[in-house]
Amino acid sequence: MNERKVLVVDDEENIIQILEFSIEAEGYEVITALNGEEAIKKARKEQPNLIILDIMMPKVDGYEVCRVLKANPLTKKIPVILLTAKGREIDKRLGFEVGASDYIVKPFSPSKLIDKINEHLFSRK
Amino acid sequence: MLGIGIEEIFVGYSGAATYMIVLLLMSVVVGFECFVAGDSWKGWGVVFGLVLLGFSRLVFLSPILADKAFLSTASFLVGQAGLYVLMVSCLKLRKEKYQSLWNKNMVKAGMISGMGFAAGSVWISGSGVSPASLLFLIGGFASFGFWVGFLGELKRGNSSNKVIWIFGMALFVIAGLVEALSLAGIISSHLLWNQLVSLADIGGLTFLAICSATGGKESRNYRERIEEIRTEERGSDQMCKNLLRLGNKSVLSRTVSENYQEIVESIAEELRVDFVSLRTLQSNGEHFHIRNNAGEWDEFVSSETDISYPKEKYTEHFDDKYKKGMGYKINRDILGGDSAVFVRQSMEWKKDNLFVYPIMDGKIMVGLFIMGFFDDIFEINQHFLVFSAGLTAQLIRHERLEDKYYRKEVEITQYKNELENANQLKTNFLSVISHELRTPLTSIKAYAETLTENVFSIKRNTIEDFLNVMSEENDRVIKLVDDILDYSTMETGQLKCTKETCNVNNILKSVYNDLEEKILSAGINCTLHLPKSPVVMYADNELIYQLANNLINNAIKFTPRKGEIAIFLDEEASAIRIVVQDTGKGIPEKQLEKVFERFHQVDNSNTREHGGSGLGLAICKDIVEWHDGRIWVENLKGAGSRFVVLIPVRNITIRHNKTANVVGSMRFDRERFLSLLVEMLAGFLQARKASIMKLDENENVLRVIAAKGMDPEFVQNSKVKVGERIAGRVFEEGRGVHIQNIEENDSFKRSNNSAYYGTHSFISVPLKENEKVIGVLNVSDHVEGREFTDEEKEVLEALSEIITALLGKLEAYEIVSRNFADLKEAMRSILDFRESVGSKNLSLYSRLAVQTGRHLNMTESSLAALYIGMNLYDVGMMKVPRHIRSKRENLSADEWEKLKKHTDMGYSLLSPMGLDERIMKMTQSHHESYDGKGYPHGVKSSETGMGVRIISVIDSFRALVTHSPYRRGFSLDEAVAEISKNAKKKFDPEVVKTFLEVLAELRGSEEIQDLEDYFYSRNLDKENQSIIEETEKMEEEV
Repeated sequence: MNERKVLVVDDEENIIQILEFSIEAEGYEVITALNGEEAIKKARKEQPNLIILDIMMPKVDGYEVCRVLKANPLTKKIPVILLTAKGREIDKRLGFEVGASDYIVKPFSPSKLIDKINEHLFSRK
Repeated sequence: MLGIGIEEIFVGYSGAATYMIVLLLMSVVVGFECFVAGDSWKGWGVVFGLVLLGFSRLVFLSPILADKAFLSTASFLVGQAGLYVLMVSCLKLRKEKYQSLWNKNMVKAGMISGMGFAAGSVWISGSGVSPASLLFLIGGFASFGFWVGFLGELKRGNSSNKVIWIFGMALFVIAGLVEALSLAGIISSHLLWNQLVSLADIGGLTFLAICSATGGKESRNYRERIEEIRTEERGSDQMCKNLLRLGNKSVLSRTVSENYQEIVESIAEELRVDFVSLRTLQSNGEHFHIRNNAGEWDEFVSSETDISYPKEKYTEHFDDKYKKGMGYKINRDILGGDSAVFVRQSMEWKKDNLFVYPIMDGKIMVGLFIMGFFDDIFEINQHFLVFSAGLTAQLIRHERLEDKYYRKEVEITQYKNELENANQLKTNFLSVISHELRTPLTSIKAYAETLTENVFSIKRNTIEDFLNVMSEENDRVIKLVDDILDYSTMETGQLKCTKETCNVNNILKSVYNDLEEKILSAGINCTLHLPKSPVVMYADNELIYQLANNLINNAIKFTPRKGEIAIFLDEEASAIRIVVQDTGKGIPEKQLEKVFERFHQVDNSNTREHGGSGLGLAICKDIVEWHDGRIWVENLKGAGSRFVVLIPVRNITIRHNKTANVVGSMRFDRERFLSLLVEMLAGFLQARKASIMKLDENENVLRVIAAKGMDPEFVQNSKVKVGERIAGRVFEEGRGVHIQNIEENDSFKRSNNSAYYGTHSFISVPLKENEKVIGVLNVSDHVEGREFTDEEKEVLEALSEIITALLGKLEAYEIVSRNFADLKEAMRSILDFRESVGSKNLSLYSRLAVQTGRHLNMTESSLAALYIGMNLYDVGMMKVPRHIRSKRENLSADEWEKLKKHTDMGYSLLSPMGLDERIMKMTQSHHESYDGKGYPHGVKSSETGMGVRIISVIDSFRALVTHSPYRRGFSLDEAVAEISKNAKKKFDPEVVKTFLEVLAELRGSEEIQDLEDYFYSRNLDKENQSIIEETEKMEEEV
């Protein structure tokens, strides 16, 4: 499983740090991006197996990132888990509309997130 | 037939001519009478009858027809026909106009005589025998009887005329008799008889003519009466026209003021008075002001329309006469000194020739017409006034409602906007808070959970790492909660603001030190520029610290690595200035004004550049405003923004109100209110020292309740007995004093009160509430070191009314524990306006305005209002975003709309203060233009009052000569040219002319020189200059 790569996108370094720690502990490789643009670039280049994506970020927000990824054949098939403080039903629906596979509201439990990650990576297989 | 041969000499041509002349005379007289009476066809009938009669007699008597029986008979018939026409016409005429004199029998008699004559003449032409002559005789007698009876009756009551008529008719009778006898052959045709007949005929006609010509008294009376009736008819016609003119449907299409003008003009025309003036009750219900004038008053309209007088002036002299709603005469003796209230002082009106007609709305007199003559005529037709007054009352009511509605509308729009804003803010708040709280809480939860789960496997330094993150994030939450609490305490007015002397240099230094680490870690270069001598101000130490801290934190947040932050501190004459500028990317122009709004930072989208509650700058704004200062932000050329804080250095003391039952924030509110008030007082008069004193009723002493520039200790313990010292005397006498040099004035001993009278020139005026003196206002020490003028005393007196009203409101608000934020907002905006224009400039502009007004013959009270108006008319501008108001030109449509709102905003801002209508008008209408194309209402400026028109010229002048970051100011000459160009279009040409004269007079004087220096030498003020240089240097370095 070690070849599995997870891209974590968040503008909060602390969040990235703890996600990195938890996901790496599961034995996945973690790559990170601090904003939307960087996320799109890295997704194309690194071809991760899964993307954890924040919504409220400077410049390009998470929805937009997701839309761009889903529109591009190169990144279209990568499952995206939105991880965000925006917890309203409408936000969630919007998330699924732009092609997200899952939606986790902050504050989140890292172990549950890991379960979700595992679920997505395995179900894909 | 008659008189053949010699008789033709006597009765031939000459007889005929005489006959003709007499008949013509008669026809002229009778005809004239008929024409005057207006019955032209009957008049013509008479004339025609007479001419016909004369012509037939002419032919009949002349020798041409001698022996031609048929022709002479024919001409006789024609003559009789003429007589008949004459009679019918006369009868017709008499019947209508003199019906009472008419006797039916006479008509019958006349008819019979006519028939008799006709039949007789037919008979004569045939045979010439006696039966015919008998008939003729009967007809003749009957006819003459008719004439005698009719005319005698006609002239009844006038014996001399009667005699003449009877005599004349007697001659006719004789002539007729002789003629008939000679026709009948009873007496022979003889020259003598014929001569007698002709003479009698002529004599009779002459007498008739004389009678007609002299006319008699009665007929003349009738003529006059007819004339009178006709005049009345014409008058009614005119009145109908005038009524239509007022009442037709164009009432609706005209403005109220146009309607008023129409009314006064038609009154002047209808009642033929020399002048009419309309006064209406102001919405405060206390004053009547001059609205529209007509007649001789017209030429003074322009300078007098903004004058108002108290209601009592119009009612006190007349008991309750006006309540009956009827007009009454007044004279100069009754009015005495108040006559100027009714009639322009210089007007030469006759002593008793003033007529006042009240305009009643129910039992309230809402207006009045004042009418008068320069001569003695005095007849007033009140019918027309009843109608006019009714119409005017309707218009006044309409105007009131409209005004009220308009105010309400402005208010509602404002509330609506506020509400929408509040709603938006609430949404923003929730979204910000949820995000801002969730982010650190998310971290804490995630870290804590991870730690718990991996507590045994995790490395020690990772644990430390994690705990640090948790602690940091925890701090973030705490900071956020603190901000929210800070803000909400400030917002609800519960903030403790303890003013004390503080050293701003030290505060800035300590902020800098506290933030140094953060600055370094952000990789920013920060410089602190402090003046050598410490800047000291009276403020709340902690709040100023928080202000500086927030500003610098904000700069750090927005400045990229390797960027620069510069902090400046300056002291100006009356304010301290703190500037914090950075080399961040600046703020979009549209957002410049909004950054100080709560939770502004989030624009509610999903992209977020920077964290933070969005409250920091809002808190800054609050702190600054608590110190009555201003804060704004501007973008720097290139990149970066500059926050500027101006806080006035105040030396205001408010007496602690120990007895008043106000606690907590309320008390603090009261103190701020009073300090704004005293600041306004001092500002308007340009006085270094000012104080407001009120009576302490328990001890019957005056105490200073708020003062500027005075020893706080003295203020707290101040006590002036009523009747003692200046203030005490002013209070007792209820009259203001103006002392040029107190040291030379023996009546005031200033020994033990140096703290109070540290001045040469001094004005002290009473504060009056409904004529009762409640306190005293004092100002002294003009900032220019000069003495106060009498003009300034007038201003202070006008100001004392405003201050009394505001103090009244303060008390009323305290009783119901209401927040008087609106009043404070109004006063703060006034001070902001002063600050933005510069008090020295403002004083010069005010002087120009007052001088112009004086040249235009405005009254003292209007001038005082103008002065006060000049000091606050543009407060609404303070609510227009700074970048728009400093541009003023090349605005986008949207920006222009915003700018145009400033007059209405000013109006609603000042409304709670209850200012004089004239001043409110100056605020609201100074952008109305002469041609009616201005805003907000697009009315002609001739309707706005002289003061307003002066202000609009001066406002433009000010705008033209002032430099802004967007445009170089005009030179004086350029400005003068621009203003002249717009006369008649934008401005009242008369005002422009006078203003330019005043300006020309002042040019070369020191003040204008100063102004010119200011215009030319300072493209930007010096402080800005140094800051700009610094910035440029910084930019180069970057």
